Parts: sequence; C-alpha cells; structure tokens
Amino acid sequence: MRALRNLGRLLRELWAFAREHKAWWIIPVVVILLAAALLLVGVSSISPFIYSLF
Amino acid sequence: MVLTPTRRARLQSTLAALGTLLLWWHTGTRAAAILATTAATLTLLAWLTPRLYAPVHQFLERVRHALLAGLTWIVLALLFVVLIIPIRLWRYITGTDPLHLQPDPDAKTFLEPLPPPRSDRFDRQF
Amino acid sequence: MRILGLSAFYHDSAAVLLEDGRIIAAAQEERFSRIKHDPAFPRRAAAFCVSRAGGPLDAVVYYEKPLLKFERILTTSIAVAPRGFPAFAAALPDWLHHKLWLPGVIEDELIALGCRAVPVHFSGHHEAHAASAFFASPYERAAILTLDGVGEWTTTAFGRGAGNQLELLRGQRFPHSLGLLYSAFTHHCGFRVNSGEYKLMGLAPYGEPRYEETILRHLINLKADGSFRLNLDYFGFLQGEAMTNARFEALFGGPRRTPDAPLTQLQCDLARSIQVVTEEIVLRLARTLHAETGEQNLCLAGGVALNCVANGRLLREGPFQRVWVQPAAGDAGGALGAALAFYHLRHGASRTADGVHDAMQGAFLGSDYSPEEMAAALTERGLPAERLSPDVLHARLAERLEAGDVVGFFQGRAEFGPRALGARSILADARAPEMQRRLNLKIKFRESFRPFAPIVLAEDAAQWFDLTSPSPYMLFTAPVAAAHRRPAASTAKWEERLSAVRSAIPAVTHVDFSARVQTVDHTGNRALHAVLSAFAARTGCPVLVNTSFNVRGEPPVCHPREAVEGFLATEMDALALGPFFVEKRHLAPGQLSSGALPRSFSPD
Repeated sequence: MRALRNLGRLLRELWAFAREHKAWWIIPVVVILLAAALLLVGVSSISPFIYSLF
Repeated sequence: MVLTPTRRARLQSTLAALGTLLLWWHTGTRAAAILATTAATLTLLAWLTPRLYAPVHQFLERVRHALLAGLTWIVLALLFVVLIIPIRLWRYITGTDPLHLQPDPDAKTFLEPLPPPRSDRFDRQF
Repeated sequence: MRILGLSAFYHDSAAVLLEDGRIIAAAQEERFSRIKHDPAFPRRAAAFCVSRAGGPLDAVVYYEKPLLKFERILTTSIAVAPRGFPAFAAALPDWLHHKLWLPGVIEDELIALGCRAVPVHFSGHHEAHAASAFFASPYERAAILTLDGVGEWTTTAFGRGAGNQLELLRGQRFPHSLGLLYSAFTHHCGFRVNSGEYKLMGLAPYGEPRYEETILRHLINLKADGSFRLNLDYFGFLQGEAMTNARFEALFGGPRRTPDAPLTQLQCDLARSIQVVTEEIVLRLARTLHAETGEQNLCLAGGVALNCVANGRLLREGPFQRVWVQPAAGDAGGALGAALAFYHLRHGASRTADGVHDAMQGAFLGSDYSPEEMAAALTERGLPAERLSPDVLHARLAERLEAGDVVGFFQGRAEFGPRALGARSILADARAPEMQRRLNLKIKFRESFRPFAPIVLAEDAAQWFDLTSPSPYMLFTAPVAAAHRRPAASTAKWEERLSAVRSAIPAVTHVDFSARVQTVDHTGNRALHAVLSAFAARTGCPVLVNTSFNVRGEPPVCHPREAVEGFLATEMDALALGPFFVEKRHLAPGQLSSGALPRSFSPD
C-alpha cells in the first residue's frame, strides 16, 4: 500500500516536472526504467557487486 | 521469518531436488535422471550433515550471484541500447545540445538566469 | 519549530537540528561511522541530533532535488551515448532502487529512529549552500557566491540575501564546473577526488604556473565576467571512466601519477597552475557579483569555498569589504542550509544579524561526552590520568608544549565541517624547526609537504600575520608578518625547500610564507584561548600548530575511546581529554601498547 502511495507521488511529480520543463521525454524513459527495476527486484542485493567493478 | 543459513540451505536443496525429480518424471530423459539423482544426494547431505554441505551451498550461492549480476548487466545494456542511444540519435538529428558541449567562442557570458523561486518549491522533488 | 536538515547519498552525509532558528546540533555521519566522507544515510548523526531536540520534529528537509538530479544523469547519459555505459550502469540501479524513493526512504529511517512521521521537504542544492552561507552569516545583507562540483544542474550561483530573504540570480550549469575542473587535476596528480583537493592546494606553492596558459587555451573558455565553459574533449567524467582522459594526459606531459608514486616538480607545477586559474575565476566572479548587486559583504559556500588560498586573495584583492565563508562549505553544510532555507523562506521566520557574530557558535555543534565517559575510556585501556582544574590543565599544557611535546586536545563539543578548530585537535609548538616533519611522519603518517595550520590569539593575530579580519574557521590564508620571516635560500628542487626555516614559526609557514590561520578569541573557544594565552605568557609566542585529531585514513576522533586509541597508536606525547591529562612519559611500557594491528594505509 505504501509502495503504491510512493509510486503515485513519484509519477505525479514526474508529470508536473515534465509539464513545467517541457521535458516530456522523461516520462516514458522513467516508466520503462521503473518497469526494468521491477524485473531486477530480486537482484537488488547485487548493487554493491556492480559498484565494486568501478 | 528469517531463515538460518542451515535451514535455508535445506529448503533450497529440497526444492531443487523436488523440481528435478518432477522434471525426470515429466521428461524421463537420462540427463534429467542424473540431475535429479545429484540433487537428491545433495539434499540428503544438507539434511544429514549441514557442515559437509556448506561448501556446496556457498558455491551455488556464488553461481546464483553471478547469474543475477549477469542478468542485471544484460538488462542495463538493453536499456542503454533501446532507450538511451535512440534518444541520442534523435537529439543529434535535431541538433539539441543540453550540456553545451559545442564550443561557443562568441558568447559574452555563460551565466544563465536562474528561474524565480516558486512558493511551493520545498514540497517538490524538482 | 524543529527542523531536521539532511544531506546524504553522495559524500559527507550529515544531519542538522534547527530549533526556532537556532542550530542545536550538527554532525557528519563519518564521525560516528568512522568511514571518511561516508555517503550513507546519516542514521547515527540524525539520532544524535534528535537526541538533542527539545520535542518532536516538525519537518525534515533534504538538501537536494532528486528528480532534477536524475534528469541531469539521464541527460548526460544521452548526451555522451553510445559512450558512457559505465556511468549509466553504475548510477542506475541505486537510483531505481533507492534515490527515486527518497520520501519513503527518509520516512522509514525516521520511524526507525523513533520519530513520528513528519513531512519530508526538498530544497535546491545551491539554494541550500546559499542559505548556509547567508543565513548563518553575521550580515544583515550580502551578496552570495556558491561554487562546487555539481548539485542538480547548477555548479556556480550568484545570489543576494537581505534579512530573512534570499534569491538566486544567475548561475552556470553542469558540466561546466570549477569544482570538477579542480578535481580533474586532483585526480591527474594522483590524489583522491573529493578529499585530495587540499593536498593539491598545499602542493601549489612549490610549483610555477607553467601550465596556466595551456589550461586557459585548451581546457576552458573563460569570459571576462568569470563564467566559463569546459572543453569536455579533455575530460572523462561524463562517460564515467575517470575524471580525465588520454588527451588530457597528452596535454600535460604524461600519464596520471599513480597514488603511491613519488611527487615530482610536474605535479607541483600543475597544482600551481590550476590554483592560479581557480583564483582568477573566483576573483572575476566576485567582481561581477559585486557590480551586479552593489553589496559590500560576500558570503561563500560550496566545496570550492574551502580553497582558503583563493579565499585569502578574495579578502585581500577582491571588491568586497568583508567576506564570510560557511565553515561546513561542502555537502555536509547542505544539511544546515536546507534547514535554514526552509525555516526562513518557507516558514517566513524573521532573522536578526548584528554584523559581528555569526550563527555557527564556533562550529562546535557536534557530540560531547561527560567526564565519566572519558574516565571510562581511559580506564578501559588501563591508563592512569590526573583530573585537573581548567587553570592547572591549561598551564600544564603550555608547559608541555613549550618542552616540545605533541598534545591531543579533546574538549567540549566536536566541530561541524571538515576542519578541526580546537575541540578534536592535536596541538604542538610552531616554533620548533623539526615539528612539521615530526607531526607528518610520526603522528599523521602522511606526506611531508603538507603545511600545518596555525592558531593564534585573535588579539595578537595582526602582529604575526598580514590578516585584515578575524579567521575563526581556518578558511583564509594570510602571509606571515614580515617581522617574523627569515630569509631562506630558494633552491631549485622542491624537496629541498621543505626543510628550510622560513620564519619564527616554521612548522606553520609554507614555502611562500603563507599560513592557513585560525584566530582564537576568548568567547569562541575558551579552553583553547586559555592554552594559547598560557603558552604566550611562557614563550612570547601566541601561535601553536593545530591539526585534526585523527590518524591517516580515518575521520577526526569522535568518542573519547577513539581519542585514547589515537593517542596510543601514534607518537603523541600527551592527551588532554576533557579535565583528564595523560602523559606517555609517565606510563609503563605495558600501558603503551595500543593493542591495534600494525597500521597500513591505502593511498588517499
């Protein structure tokens, strides 16, 4: 429930941002990235592993 | 509920054994039989002597980690290719240069006016 | 009204508690976690701040606008594609899993701290810097200049403050950044970005500005008003590879120095060149800002404002009558600025400024400990300590300092910001010719070229340094007064110039006779003022060395236990831990072992 509320806030602010800055491109980009992040939910623990490569 | 490492190892190996047994029953192939036998043996090991099974568990964890890392890299690379590069191409075609990477020797100043503050700005993430 | 300001997730995480406009507590997470420049959510710093609050929090303010920053990261990835995959891949998972969900992340952290849920607000990165510079300053009105690596998009901002109002006027945008330009040279000279900039500044006086023209011709397009654009063909940071690239290396005579390679004249000259260019940019920007605002006072913040050599020139040669620099000018100070901005600009609270006193309380805003906790830390290591009255302690300290001892000085509340100002300090006699070398090699375990900072009684500062105004936060360099200088032969090799005695206070005099002065008055830090006075009464010299109480690779000590460990792990001679005084010469050999493993350091 909280996750949905946070997602709602993020999308609302993203919409307002895109409208104000005329940066409509950011909406599909962030939505696709968030969808991809859902795919990667199970691998969140490997983030430190990725960072250690740089 | 937080599983202890031993319990998690037992649970994972049992699930793997059940899965491979199901596969053997379903396909009846020799490869599936070998897989199921190996999994069942390892499960037995996990239940009887967790200490002996621990190195196996560690190895499998490392393999899982590597696979997930690989998957992450693939997804990130895909995102870069299908999302970022096409927008770059579009910006190249339209001549958009938001970072001002192109030289502008005739400019008098590079200072830009900052937008006037909005009263609700502290409530927004942008 | 109680406001918690937060900076987190990049470098130098910090938390600040503001109560009805007064700064109650401020601390960096690194002091508690013991991880230098710790970027994690400042759990322990926030817990410390909340523990000092007189009641429940009313608001939390984060020091940046996450969506603007994410847009900048995506825009950069797009602009440099098909290169730049490393930067994209390194940044994205953390953004998608945490940084885009900051309101929820912060709420969870606050609930874990036992606070009730309060609204989470966001200030702009440079608005926070500007607020930390102006609202904490002594001035009723002032011009404001913020300079750093980058926040969301802005890298440099002009502003103006009056009373409880503040407006940002003009700015320069990423990637055209003075902070990043300086960091590129820090990286190329083999130091760590975001922490080694001080070393580069310390190295500069050994060099000649041989590359100034090269920088101005190839790296930047600098305008008369101080604004500039970087030529990104020479930098690698947009692609996430490194700060600089092969073209940069070709331009400056070879590959980057590896962190453990010896320093050469090349690095000295590069350091001097970028320092001269930085000063020129800062001076031009200040002149433009002065002409634009007509103000007589200037407030500075942002990481570049920690460049005290540039600040010193600004004070001496700049157009402003008075200059005040936020002591926590880096991102840690963003937590303070976010809270102050919210309090005055959103809440509309009034502000009073008397033109003399700032709101920083000497920057002594961190944690403090009771004598009982200090005694326990000493007992834990089996150290016998005398408990002395303040007068006796200060007299004893002056006596030991005169005898050449190096003393750990742990008193009162810890400092907020990167500099040790006499609460978590190591003190020594600045007159001793061998002191700089001894401190560097036996206490700090670091390179010997780095100068130490002097503390001087504020009332005597003008006799010892050509300083036109007080410098309580060690943020301005000033030349040692001519009367105290000694002629020193200038030899060609920079290594040979290290050991030359240049003044009556050689341990704090750089090769160009400059010193990073901290003036100490009797209201800011009474204990330190008393020690300096006692030392001056004995020796006629109101100057001491003041360096941070830490050992290499670690942040300054926070808990008394860490002070005791640092005392035992180094060749420090004595420790003044609150009212307790310990001298190594009185300890039995068995009590001297720190119990710690032999120290080894990764290059920093």
